[in-house]
Amino acid sequence: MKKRFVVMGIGNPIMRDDGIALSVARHLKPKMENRDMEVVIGETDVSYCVDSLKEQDFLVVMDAMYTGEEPGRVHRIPLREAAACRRRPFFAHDASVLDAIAAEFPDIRGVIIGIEPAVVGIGFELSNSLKIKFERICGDVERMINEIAEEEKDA
Amino acid sequence: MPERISINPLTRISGFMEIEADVHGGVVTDARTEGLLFRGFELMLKDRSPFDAVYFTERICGICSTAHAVASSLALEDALGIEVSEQGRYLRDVIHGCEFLQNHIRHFYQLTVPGYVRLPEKLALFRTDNTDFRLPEKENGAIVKSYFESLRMSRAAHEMLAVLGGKAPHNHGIFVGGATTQANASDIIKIKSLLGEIRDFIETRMIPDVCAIARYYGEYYKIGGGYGNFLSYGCFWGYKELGTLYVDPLTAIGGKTAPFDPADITENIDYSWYEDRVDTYAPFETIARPDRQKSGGYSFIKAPRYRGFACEVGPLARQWLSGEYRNGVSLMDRTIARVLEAKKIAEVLRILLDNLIPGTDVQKAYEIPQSAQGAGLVDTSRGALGHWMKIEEQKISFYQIITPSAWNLSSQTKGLKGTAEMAMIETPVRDVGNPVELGFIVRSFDPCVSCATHVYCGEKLIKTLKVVP
Repeated sequence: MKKRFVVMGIGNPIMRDDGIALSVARHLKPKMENRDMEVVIGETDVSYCVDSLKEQDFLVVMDAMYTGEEPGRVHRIPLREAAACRRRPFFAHDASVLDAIAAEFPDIRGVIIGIEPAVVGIGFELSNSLKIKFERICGDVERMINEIAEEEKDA
Repeated sequence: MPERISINPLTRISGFMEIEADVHGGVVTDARTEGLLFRGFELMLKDRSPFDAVYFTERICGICSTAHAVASSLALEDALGIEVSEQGRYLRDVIHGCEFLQNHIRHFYQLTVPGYVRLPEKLALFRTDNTDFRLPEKENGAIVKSYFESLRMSRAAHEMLAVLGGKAPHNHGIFVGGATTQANASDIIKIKSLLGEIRDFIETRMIPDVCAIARYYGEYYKIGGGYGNFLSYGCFWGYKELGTLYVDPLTAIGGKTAPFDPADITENIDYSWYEDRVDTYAPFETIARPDRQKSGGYSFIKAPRYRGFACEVGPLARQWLSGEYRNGVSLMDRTIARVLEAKKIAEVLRILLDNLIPGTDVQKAYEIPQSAQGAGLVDTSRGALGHWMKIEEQKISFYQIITPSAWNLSSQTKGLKGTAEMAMIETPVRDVGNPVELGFIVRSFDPCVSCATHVYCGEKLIKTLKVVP
């Protein structure tokens, strides 16, 4: 089976900056696909996200990530490290896409790219803060993905 | 002096449900099921367009959203005086049947099995308390394999639903007249293909798995029975050409089976957190107001009754009433009935799919009358679901919903315990510090107190298992 490099944007598009990764993924999709990467716009559909994956995939999950730093800043965390931080849920409703992916693909390797939001609340549009920085954010994410892809090639 | 056990949270799906039980001499002498959720959808619907109700009420629950769409569209059809074509019924019922399969597979493997089967520590999706592991390694291992396979199967059931429903959960296919879309030949073939996989899984994995569990928990056939009163509004029934494919609207009270009469449904608020001018009322009569401070109240779940009796609804009720399974009434029988019902629903779906005519349009233009009222009663995965709607000036003026979990997990009325409460009473508890029997009994009803409050303190979930002398 061919090893795939999958870039998965997740988030809620009607919760303003919670959907920043979706906007970035859509913007970068043509370039990523030219580089033979799969781009999945997962939104909040956990089933679709899980069904989009295969055993041997290398997975880059893109999501909004709030750590309190400057809005628009881009972070990178190994998937395994992020999963280790998760408290195992007690309810089915508490499970995240990372839990669902870990249950079906326990050995999957990958990275989370997190983008700091400015405003998370009801609405279709990104905050002004992220709109102004959007090109820069896309550039930072693209560079990060390219670095990850290079590292993966060498691994 | 009895010891009082309090367990919270109880379900593995969501929500905030608590049970309390008094144990005297190792036996439960009194029990209460407490739903700590005020739903309030009935109030939100007031003054909206009646057509909104179909999509709006789906949001009551992400698990059984299709069921609410079905009940709501039936209530609208009754109010608008619309006769639905058989093709419209088939389309709607196929979508609904897919939800049954998804719910039953998910409930058995993800919410029931973790109590009986030791899952691999690193891989299990959820943390599980309230367990009683007895299975030998070989049987345990086989069910663990099914547990992970079931995730794919329950997604496949949702995929089937989405073929005709548009998406899952909260489909937008079900509407007045049956469904908004036609089924074309490739849709039917796709659904049949997915159904074939699911049927195979049910027959070769799910049924053997529940049989394996049942072999090691013989005493669970003797607890958790309760009243043994059953009720069904009818399920995949009364088709003009196909007849009844599963169960007609029936009740069994005190062992006597009789046709179900919707005029005999009442709801009571003696011990629930609501106030009204009357304590017992018919569904069209009034919507009780919430009152969290009500003296004597202990739950937001009201008490539906049929001719004054508390009735069990859901898979065991339907399997019993249809004559498909009558081994007994207990925690284990209820668990087995759900699995057997999954097989039955898969058979019903195959028949409905065989009778769908590709390319049939079932939609028309509908006019909302100035005033009208209608009821939509349907059996869903967890049991009997009813929506009652009144229309004034072409807007919703009244909306009443009685869910299956209200039937099964009701608060008591004066002198009459709720169904699950009664199922716990007289249960022997081996260890009051770990009362697994009580959790197993209540979970066997597949309680779904939807959209309930989740309370966290920092990173720690507030979890209570109190034993109070």
